[in-house]
Amino acid sequence: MKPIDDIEQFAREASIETDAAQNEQVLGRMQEAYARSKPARRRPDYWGLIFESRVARLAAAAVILLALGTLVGQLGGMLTGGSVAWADVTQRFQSVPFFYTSIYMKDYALAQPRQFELWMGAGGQVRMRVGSQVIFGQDGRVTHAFDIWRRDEVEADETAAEIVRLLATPDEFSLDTVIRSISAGKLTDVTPTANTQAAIGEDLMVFDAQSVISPGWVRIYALRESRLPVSLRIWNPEQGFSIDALITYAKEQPEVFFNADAFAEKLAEKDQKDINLAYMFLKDPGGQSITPTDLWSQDQ
Amino acid sequence: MQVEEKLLVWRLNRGDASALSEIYEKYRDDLLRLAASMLNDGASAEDVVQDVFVKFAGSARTFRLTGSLKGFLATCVANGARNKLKAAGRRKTTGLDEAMGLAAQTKGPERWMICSDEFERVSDAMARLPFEQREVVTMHLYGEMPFKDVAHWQKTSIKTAQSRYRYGLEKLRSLLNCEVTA
Repeated sequence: MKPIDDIEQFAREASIETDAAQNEQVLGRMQEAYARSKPARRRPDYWGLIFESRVARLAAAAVILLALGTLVGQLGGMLTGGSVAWADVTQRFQSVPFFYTSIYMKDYALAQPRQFELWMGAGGQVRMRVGSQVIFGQDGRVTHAFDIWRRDEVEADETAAEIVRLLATPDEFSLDTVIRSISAGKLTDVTPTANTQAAIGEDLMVFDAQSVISPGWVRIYALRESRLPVSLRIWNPEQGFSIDALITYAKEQPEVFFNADAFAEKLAEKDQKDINLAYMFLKDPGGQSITPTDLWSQDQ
Repeated sequence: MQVEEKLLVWRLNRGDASALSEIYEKYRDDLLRLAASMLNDGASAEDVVQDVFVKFAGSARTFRLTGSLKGFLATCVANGARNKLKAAGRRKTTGLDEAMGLAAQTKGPERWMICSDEFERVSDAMARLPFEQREVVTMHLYGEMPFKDVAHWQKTSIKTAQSRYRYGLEKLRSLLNCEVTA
């Protein structure tokens, strides 16, 4: 053996290994001790909830979209002149009879995003597509959920069901609540503030809300002229957890689009393709084809 | 490191148990090496480190990080090791005949820690250092604690801690190289 010159390096590099089963055992004891310990008394932290609960994360994003319309009058004064205030955005959003949002969520930086599609109609009607499921809701309740692959009625996806429930309870989980949580209860009438650095074009307004108790933030993009919010991003720099929501507005869909019984009849038809079922009865307001059925009917 | 540690503690404060396993994976080996080098007794080292991890987990929801998390855990392990040695009345330098302990103790069944030959040599040589030197060397090398913190913990000056480290390393070098030439 050669004499050791750098004793610090030799000692640092002298390694040990550990037994996997023993590691599990120690970690198990740690988890038990952690579970037994009482949580610190703190104010309900909805912001924390967004970043910690898989279900609540997505639900929060969807409800933020809906809650945009519930805050008129509560959030600051209207600005005049060429600028657009947050209240303008919420007020404009409230007046929209129908909107569609496509929400992408990923749990960490390198994860594949999961997509949720949500259509909101008048009178509290909701339709969602999540994976192979098509879900119908009314006034905060899932009325029917169908699986296209199984061609059967199923139990609704847990997250989707939670979104439908929360959509009807803006007081319980509104944007106002989220913002108050972001500010640790100190700012009860805070509005997301305009971030002029974040947008290049003058036709786009960007509003930011930054947590003071976590590293996460929310950004909302709105159009200056129409004052409609068109995109929302929630971002957690810790793991790269993110939610991106794209919002589009159009004329209302036909009543049958929200009719679960009509959908069930189509589901029973054996020759229906998956894509037809996923977007059954959906009409593109600009006249474009959505499904092979649309293509076929255009050719006739 | 500081930012990463703060985020881990922030997650624990808010109920995210998965941060526990990240902390465990990150610091386990260094804490075991620290305890084993201080005690030269595999089973006692495992007890001390396990105890520190479990106690930390039990208080993690309300834990407030003021310095380095690794430094905090290393200090807990060092305190535990000191207490073990006091209880056993073994706070002294190990003689040549006694110093082959770790190698024999870490080879049995159901051991948590499995030492490499190099670590056994280092640990056995550490056991022959005066106790104060051994503390400084292990806490600085494996706990990555700055001399200022080790000095504070030993209730001595930074210069003394640095001297103890220097003398400790010199002795360690001569012990290990003596083994090589023997």
